[in-house]
Amino acid sequence: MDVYVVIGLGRSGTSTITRSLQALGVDLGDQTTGNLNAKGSFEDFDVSRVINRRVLEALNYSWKNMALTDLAVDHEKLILLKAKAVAMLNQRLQKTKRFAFKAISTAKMLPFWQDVFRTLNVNDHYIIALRNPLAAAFSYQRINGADIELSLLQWLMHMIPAIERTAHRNRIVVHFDALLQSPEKEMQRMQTQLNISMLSDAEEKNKFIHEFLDVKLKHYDSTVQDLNAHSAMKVAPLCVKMYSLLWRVSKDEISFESDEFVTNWKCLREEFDALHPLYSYIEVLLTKNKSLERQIRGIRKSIAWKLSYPLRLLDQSLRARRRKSREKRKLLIA
Amino acid sequence: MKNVFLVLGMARSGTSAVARGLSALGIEFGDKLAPADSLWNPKGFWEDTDIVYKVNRSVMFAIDYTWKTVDWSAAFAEPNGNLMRLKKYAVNLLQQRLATTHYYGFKDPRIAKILPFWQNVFKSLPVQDHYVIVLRNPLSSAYSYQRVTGCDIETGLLLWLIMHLVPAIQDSQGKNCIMVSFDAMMQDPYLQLARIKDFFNLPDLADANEIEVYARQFLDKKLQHYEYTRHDLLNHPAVKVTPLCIDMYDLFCQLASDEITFESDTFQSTWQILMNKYEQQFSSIYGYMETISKRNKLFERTLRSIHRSIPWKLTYVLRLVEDTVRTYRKKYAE
Repeated sequence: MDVYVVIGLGRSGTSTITRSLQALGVDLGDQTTGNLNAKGSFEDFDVSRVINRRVLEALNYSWKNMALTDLAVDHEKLILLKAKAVAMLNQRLQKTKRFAFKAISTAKMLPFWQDVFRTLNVNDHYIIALRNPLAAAFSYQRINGADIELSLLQWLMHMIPAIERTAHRNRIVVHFDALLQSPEKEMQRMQTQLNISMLSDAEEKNKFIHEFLDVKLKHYDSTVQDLNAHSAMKVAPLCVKMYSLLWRVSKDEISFESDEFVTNWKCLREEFDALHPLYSYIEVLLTKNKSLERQIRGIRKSIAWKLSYPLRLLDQSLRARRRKSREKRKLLIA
Repeated sequence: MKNVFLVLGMARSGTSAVARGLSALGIEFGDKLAPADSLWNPKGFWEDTDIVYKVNRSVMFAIDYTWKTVDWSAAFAEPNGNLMRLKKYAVNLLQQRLATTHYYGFKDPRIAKILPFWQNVFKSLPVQDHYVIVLRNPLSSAYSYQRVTGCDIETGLLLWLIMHLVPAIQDSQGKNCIMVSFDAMMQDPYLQLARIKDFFNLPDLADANEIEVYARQFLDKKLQHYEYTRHDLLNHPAVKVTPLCIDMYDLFCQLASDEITFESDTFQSTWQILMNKYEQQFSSIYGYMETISKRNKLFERTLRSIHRSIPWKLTYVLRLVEDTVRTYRKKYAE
């Protein structure tokens, strides 16, 4: 039995890639949901909402976390969740021999899932979704107003474990743009590299290519030049180098095992490690930001706050008046 | 030609103690000094209130400073009505202060970032400017700063680097400038004062007794709460966010002990290397940190003003009831 895991930062074409696997005859289960995407996000509900979310909660971890520390798979709180994940996957695999899933933050908890796969004795394959980090960042900003800088850092935090945790396993890098531009070629690549024997009929494939793929829905096109030129990029200059390297892998110019990739990756990783303490401090500041925001939101939602509306109005107007008279006095003195 | 002395350095670095030392040498600090404060400075700030509150604060507002900008001269070169007015005011103020003395000094922790402004002021007066940069182990400054403001150690280190030492060195290049170590001043004030007097070629302005009073009565070892060593600096986790602090501290220590001078090739070339590193690797990331810090400050201010408002205090009982109900409901739901 085979499990195909689609990983990558959100807004990187993970949904489209997951859908393309379906067109190739891989089963996605019947629990897929989607709300952020016009055409569905193909995210397995049980995986993302039930398991991944709780794993993050159990470890007091968020998908925004800047830490790259190893997940302690034998963490006490994770044992129950692991049993749950095994049962869920087992259930999915009863109906099919090839199951694919994608879920937010899977890239950050690969050791957990790999432990699950080991228990079930299934072959795991990884599809790493690659998109220009700037394009993904703009897409995020459109949805939730996130800073470009933050999304670029997130891109690094997802790609590093996605590459390092899938070493020596069957994996492929798929570029979102390439999938949109030449779907047949990319699907062929996936088929050969992931050993998916021809399962689907041509009709399924055609449906995906001609009906599902919609270049219009891709809102952001960024080139490597844009990436270099954008001011936010100075916060995470590694993005450019890592993206260029992975782009070559996605074009099959170099392989993960090639010396060129290995030495380049080692350099990138060293550079990243030097800057990591700074990124961690950014996270500290962001966590503080979130907690302050939550406090203010909590106050504004409370009944006491709403009830005191007339009182606050009065207080504010009194204050404004006092301020004005103070300024007037200052002017008179001057 | 009259003489102006500027005391530069991070807040909580012993700038007040050094300023008091200069006054023992006969340099006048004016009679509009800010009163002592039991938390910040039980023995006085040695800050001229007119200069600190009326000029420097307004200049900071007028140029809208950020951490990201390394070179400030551009901001001051642009025509700015507010700055012109402030300059006129500052010129007048300085003339008044210099009316009764030939040796006038002032200090304010904000000065380092706005040195170009003051240098413009000096240019339009017949005065010679001199600079005293106070050096303290950044970790000691950061801990002391944390004690009075509650700021993170990381932020304290960032301030040491970005707000004070880097601009102080950058903008005093080629001028009469001396680096004074606070620790050295505490250990042997006689030696340090003699060193300063020699360096600036000061005549005997004050009674020798003054120095005695300063050394025996003013300097108080008990008020020096934090004494971190270079070893502490190397090993403290917060310093990983500002690794340049270590290199710069080492370099500045050599200046403070007269091993090298500002004009020496050793200093100039090392400084150039450090500044290049600063601009290429760190300044943008620090800029992003500042963006988030500013947002946090805004939230904190909002929360503070809510907590201080009359409606908030009046609804205390209501809030108490609401909170209890909420906690109860949460427990019930679980």
